[in-house]
Amino acid sequence: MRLDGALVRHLADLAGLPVGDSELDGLVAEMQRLVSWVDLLPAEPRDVASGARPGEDPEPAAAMSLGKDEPHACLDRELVRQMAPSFDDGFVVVPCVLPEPEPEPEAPGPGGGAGA
Amino acid sequence: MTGVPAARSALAAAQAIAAGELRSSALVQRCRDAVHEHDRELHSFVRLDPAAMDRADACDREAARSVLHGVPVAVKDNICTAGLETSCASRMLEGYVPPSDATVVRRLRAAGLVLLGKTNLDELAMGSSTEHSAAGPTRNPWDLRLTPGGSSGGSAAAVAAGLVPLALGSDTGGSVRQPAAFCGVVGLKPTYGCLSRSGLVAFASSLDQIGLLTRTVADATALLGLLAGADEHDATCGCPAGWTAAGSAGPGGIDCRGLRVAVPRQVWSLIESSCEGPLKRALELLRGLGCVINEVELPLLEAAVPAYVVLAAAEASTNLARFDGLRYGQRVEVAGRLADTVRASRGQGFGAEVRRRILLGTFVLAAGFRQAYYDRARAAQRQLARAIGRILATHQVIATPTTPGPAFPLGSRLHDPVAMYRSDVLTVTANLAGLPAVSVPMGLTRPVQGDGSGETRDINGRGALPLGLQLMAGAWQEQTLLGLAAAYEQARGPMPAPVGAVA
Repeated sequence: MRLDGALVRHLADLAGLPVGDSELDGLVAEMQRLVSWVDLLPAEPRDVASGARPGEDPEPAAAMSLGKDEPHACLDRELVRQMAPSFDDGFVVVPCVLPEPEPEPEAPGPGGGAGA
Repeated sequence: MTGVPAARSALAAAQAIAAGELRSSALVQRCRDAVHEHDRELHSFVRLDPAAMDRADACDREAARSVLHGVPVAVKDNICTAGLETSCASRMLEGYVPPSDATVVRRLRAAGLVLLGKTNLDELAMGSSTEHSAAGPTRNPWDLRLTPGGSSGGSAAAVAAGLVPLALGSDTGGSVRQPAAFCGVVGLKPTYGCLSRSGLVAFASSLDQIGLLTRTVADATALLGLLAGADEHDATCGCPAGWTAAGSAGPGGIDCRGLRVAVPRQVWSLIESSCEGPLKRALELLRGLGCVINEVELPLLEAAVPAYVVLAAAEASTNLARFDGLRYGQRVEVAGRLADTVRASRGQGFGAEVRRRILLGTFVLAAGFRQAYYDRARAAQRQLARAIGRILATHQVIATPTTPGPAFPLGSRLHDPVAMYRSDVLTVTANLAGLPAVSVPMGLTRPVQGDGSGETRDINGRGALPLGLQLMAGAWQEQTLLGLAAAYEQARGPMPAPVGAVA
């Protein structure tokens, strides 16, 4: 698999990471080395003993202890209140992320020039 | 570093406190003094808890709540502590003060242990050397020119240097066991689900497990017993009915006669020559205890690290999406589009290794590449787990060195991520299969001076470096695992401490 600058820049965009022009070539080389190494993974791993294909294998043997299939109480309200930066009238108050919308222009009166 | 040799285990300290021979406040003060005196060059702690002395005083006034009552403990800085900054050694979380304790910290406090402070790590637990830390690197107490391993390098170095008798770490691919081996202490990763991850800042949720760093196996067993158990805040957490960390065996471990121990044949080609002699001696010791040692095949062992890197990066890229400067983390305001603020915040908040893993994780999950990389890694994980399961169907334990070799020099692998990742080749298997594993010191890279027998029992290990023996067992088999580890530890005899370690 060959990587290029366009692909790495696209990945960085997806990941929300900045990539400056000066660092792009170095990053492509670094990612190329990593991906080439990861390519050492068996192409289609088969079980040595049984010859089974991956899709035929069950999940890893480390049996997790499964909880009972029943609903649990959600997080304690007081704990949520403590964790919230601000809590008002039962709601978590979060910072304003988006700018306030511009006020709608008043509707033109009858006969007003829409294209003005 | 100069001081007095480390000797006291956490259980011995707790017994002295319970007997009125030692005050918790005196022990905590001694640890704080040792940190102030010795940690300037080691840099194992990122901050001390200002409330530690008050808590120790309270411990002295009350009846013992557990077998480790009054003992100080350090906590890796990716585990939340109420009222005490938890930055994960990341600029992204600089100044973040959790409003509540992680479940394991809450249980530590409930058992009467005293939080001494927070220890250094690779940023967000991503690394194997504790060099990728916004707070600067930690050094190895055996040789300050070397790394302590990582990512729980601060916890391992602090315990090895005698600054604190117990510490918590986290282990996603070996981050407790590898630094334990490099620093000559015990490192335990329990079965996935044994310890609650609630309050552990997530790296790769299907692999993350909180682990323990101690001076003795008995200390690890006692601490595990206090922390294990179901937690309503972590749906993956819960031990089977009847499970206990320790059995009826004493501190000398279990009767090992007839215990079947497997050694994967592939290991011999993966380790450095300095590791071969100590491994052979460790296996001889196990044989002397009555274990039956068998060489076995463990196919795909060399594919374990690439599989781990792909899976961990994929999970990291999704887990860390929340750190965008809007929902979590430092915000860098940029005029213009919201996406520019996110990019600037993540660009300045994350270090190079974290950005590298996020980018790789985004790649292996991207449309068009997922099948070729992520799915292939998952398939390799299943294959490996199946192969381990077959071995453990006929053996109780798998034994390997914890690492291919001893601690490496600071900076030597910092710009070679593949070489850095490869140092985890023998530890990632336990995480991929969700199994418990422990690293126990198995001696030094070469016999110490004046020891003609070739054994490594003498004090003064100057010039020689510690190595770890990793024992891995089936899921929820901690009792057998720790019992064998304790028996081996006793048969091995006392390990030298790094020169200048403090009690």
